Amino acid sequence: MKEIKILSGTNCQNCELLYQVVSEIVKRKGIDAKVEKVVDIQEVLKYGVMTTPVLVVDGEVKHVGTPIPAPQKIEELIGG
Amino acid sequence: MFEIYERFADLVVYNLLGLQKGMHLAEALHFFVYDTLKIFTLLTVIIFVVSFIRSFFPLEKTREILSKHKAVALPLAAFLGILTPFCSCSAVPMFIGFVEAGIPLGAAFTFLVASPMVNEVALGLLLTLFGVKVAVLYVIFGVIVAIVAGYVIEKLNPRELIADYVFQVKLGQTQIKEMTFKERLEFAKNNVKEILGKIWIYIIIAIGIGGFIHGYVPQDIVERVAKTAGLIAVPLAVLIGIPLYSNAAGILPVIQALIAKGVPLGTALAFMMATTALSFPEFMILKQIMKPKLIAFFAGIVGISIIAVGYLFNFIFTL
Repeated sequence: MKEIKILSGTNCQNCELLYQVVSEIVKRKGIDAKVEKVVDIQEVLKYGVMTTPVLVVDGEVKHVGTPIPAPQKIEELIGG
Repeated sequence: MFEIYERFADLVVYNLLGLQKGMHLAEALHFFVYDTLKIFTLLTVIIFVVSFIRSFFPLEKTREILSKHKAVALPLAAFLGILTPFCSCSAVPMFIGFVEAGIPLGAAFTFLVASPMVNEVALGLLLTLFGVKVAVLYVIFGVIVAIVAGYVIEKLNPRELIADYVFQVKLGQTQIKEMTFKERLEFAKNNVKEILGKIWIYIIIAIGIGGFIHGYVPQDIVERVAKTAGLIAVPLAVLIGIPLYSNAAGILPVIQALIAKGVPLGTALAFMMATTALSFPEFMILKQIMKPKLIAFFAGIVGISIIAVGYLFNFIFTL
């Protein structure tokens, strides 16, 4: 099972959007994955990034910052 | 450069609609058609170019550059603040990241001011509506305000007003990939789409209001109001600007029409700087890491600097 994390800032609209798009793709494609949103700042900083949102798949940073990629691109990044 | 749009507006208003030159409605419509075309063309180009340049300066790289040049941290932070794309929701990680890298606190504040203050949409609109001189002065004054704010806060020695955990967090290994040229173009294109997608409706409405003012509001009334408001106009503009965060796009075309009717330019500029540099959402985010007192200092210093710039601008442009 894949572990997908969306690292988010507080009060960050794009982070919320990315989380929803990823969740929807996982559901629609039936990908075997756990999608989790991480808002805890100390947890976020462990990945060495300061720009949100961050897409992490199985511990690997796949995308950082805005604009968030198109859904097809996100699908590719998740590897569904 | 925009003669073709001028001709197009002439064609639509005078030939297609058959309106007479000098009529209120004709003047208003002509302003609307011409300005809409001009503003959207320039915004597209400017957001694209600025985004492309910005793709070279992610926040993580900015941190690295600043940590290597601590002696000139303040001016460098102001300069990089302009080039680094930055969402106020990243303010907390940015702060911690900078502190961890040993970058002076003042520089972190300078960055925090410069990044939103000098933004591509505002720059594009200023260039479109008021010309190169105003746009350049906007950048220069933006940098000065950011440096002053950082310097004063550094002197206040705000260490004890910042949450302890900021100084304890350890950042993980940075794993940001370099973009290819094609990815940068893609990034810039997506930015244009995203930003214009967000603001186009505000701009259209604002141009509509601007067109109305242009065509229907008599010049002497505006001049009289501007004169009566006089000195309080600048601080007032800053106060009104704070809750209107990030809607500079929806205000500038209105202001342009007002300026054409006699409102001083510095007042307008102070207003716009306040909309982008001071915002309640950002204060709420900063509350996670700093005491309200420090946020108040921060807002106060930036606010006062912007008011000073407003007066200075009014002074320069009435000489």
